[in-house]
Amino acid sequence: MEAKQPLVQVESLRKLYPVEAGLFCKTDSWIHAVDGIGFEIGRGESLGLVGESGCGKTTIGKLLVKLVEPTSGSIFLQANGRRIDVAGLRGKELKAYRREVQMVFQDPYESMNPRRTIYDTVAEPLAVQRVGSVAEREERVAEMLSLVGLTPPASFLFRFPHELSGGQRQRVAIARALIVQPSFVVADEPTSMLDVSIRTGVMRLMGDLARRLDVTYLYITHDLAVARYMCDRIAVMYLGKIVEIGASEEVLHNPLHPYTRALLSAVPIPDPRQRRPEVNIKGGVSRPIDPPPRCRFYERCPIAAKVCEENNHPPLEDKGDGHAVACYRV
Amino acid sequence: MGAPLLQVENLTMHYHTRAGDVSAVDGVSFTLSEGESLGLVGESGCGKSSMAATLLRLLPDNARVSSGRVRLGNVDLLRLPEAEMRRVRWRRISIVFQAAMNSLNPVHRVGDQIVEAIHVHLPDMQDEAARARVGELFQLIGLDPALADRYPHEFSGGMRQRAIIAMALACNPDIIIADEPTTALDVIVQDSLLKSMRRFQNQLGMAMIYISHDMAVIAEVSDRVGVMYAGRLVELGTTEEVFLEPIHPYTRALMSAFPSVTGEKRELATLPGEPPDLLHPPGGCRFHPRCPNRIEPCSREAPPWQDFGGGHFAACWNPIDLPQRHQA
Repeated sequence: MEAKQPLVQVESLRKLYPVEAGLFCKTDSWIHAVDGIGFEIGRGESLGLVGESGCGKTTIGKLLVKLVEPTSGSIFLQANGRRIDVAGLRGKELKAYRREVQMVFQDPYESMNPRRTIYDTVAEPLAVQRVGSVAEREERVAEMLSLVGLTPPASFLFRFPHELSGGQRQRVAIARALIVQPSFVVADEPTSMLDVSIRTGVMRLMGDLARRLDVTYLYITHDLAVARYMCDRIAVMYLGKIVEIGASEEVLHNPLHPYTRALLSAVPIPDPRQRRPEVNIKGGVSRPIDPPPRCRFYERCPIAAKVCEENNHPPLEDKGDGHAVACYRV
Repeated sequence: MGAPLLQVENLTMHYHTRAGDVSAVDGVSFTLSEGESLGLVGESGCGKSSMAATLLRLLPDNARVSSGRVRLGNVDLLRLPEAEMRRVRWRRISIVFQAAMNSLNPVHRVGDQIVEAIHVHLPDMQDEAARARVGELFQLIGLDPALADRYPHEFSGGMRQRAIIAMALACNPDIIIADEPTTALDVIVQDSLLKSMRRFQNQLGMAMIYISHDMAVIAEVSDRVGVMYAGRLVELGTTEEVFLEPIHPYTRALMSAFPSVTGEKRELATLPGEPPDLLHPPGGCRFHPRCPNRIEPCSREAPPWQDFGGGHFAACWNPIDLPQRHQA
């Protein structure tokens, strides 16, 4: 990676949600969905955000595309030679931001309006952004559809989502996200609903498009194997915190955090000759409601010590080559 | 491995719809031995769940079984009167579905719901004994027996799935069919549930049919593996045979498309096209439009189901030859 300005910079980002206490009751409990997170993504790089359900990875995605507002912290995007502070964006500037940052959702069945044709769906961002004339838009849509492998485009333009398979729909969703030529795309589990024989094609397509169109991804997934194939770097999340981050192969072959180790050893291996090591973790999943000031992983950690309980959650510490881990015991 | 417990022969089933007949299961044959764990793997719509539902005759009204036999001991389940079939379900064969964890009634204690199920299926059992049985079952599946007094909302997804499995084991069936029981769960929870399932399965000497789309899960839970594609079984053999020396090109494609976290990072294979629409399945071998090994007879005639040696079955006109198989 070159040492130039990163495309995306996230600093001490937090998002707290109130716990419903009941009608007319004031809530004083908070879910710490994202709790003081910082990372950078370089231009052309893809960062994988992995973790179990409820760890806050989707919330980070929503914060980055400004679908939800952060409780505190900041997000910066490098665009047109400027560093934009995402928090203060309103009106025109916000619209311009939406052109730079797009999202692909998990469920291709739910994220498309069933009454609109593929052309309408893919062309909508252009209409919203008032790009080009109708004729130009038609051309762009056709071009984009062939780019995502829906060929010939003319045979797809006026079909409806229910006429397409899951894989084809996800290709439409990718076309819709990329048609405004964003520099940054948040992809939230884009292939987890797809079957294996279809999934590889969509993964490969996303990789190819990233190179050709110079797109940077934040790739959210629960599947470490998929992250390995899609991402240059991987960040592992646990209860609203990043506990480990580094180059993909490095994190997978040399995991430092006890949670990353547990997660890795729990992934089944498609080879009957291999035996996995025991999964070393305690208890069930906890929820990040008003977490006490200690390491978030303390209750489930197999190597927890006094220092982990008496101090705040440990900061991410670089152990060399950008492989950072948040643990007192490493 | 014990004697054959369940024999499925040439099972064929279609769903009748306004658009035409959907050929969901076509000529599937296999046997399940006592105490054996058989994994069925395939992509969505390949007929693996429909096949399981056919075995237990839990099909919707528009389904028609056009041929085949499902023999449990000396009885053909497909020809059993419904009243007798009801005695087979749960007592001899029980089934756990993927979404089952959402089927617990939220206003009743989990333990009470299992006791109720026991009363339905074993009306002679006293209440006291049924409660004791719930405690045993909870222990067997790795839940604290004290949790029987809790309500479903106090359970996590993994715990609810365990409770459902406990319920399925209540009458000590010979066979348990598990249809994607861990698919909605996180990996760490999945790992511990799979371990519990393997443990009780060995402990009770129960046979299991484990259905999943996940090759890796199948590799870990099964003694033998069956691979399904577009309503047909395309390969069947021991887990080692199927994973290390696959015969059918689809099996190999499925495996090489599957990313792994261990070992060298290799290129993932892409299969051209998509699984067929079973309203109009392709003629001949249903995999032929996507198959890299396609030869002349593939589009004309369906390949026969044959033994390639030692009970390693496949249906293919142009199988992967042995030296190549060792590389896979």
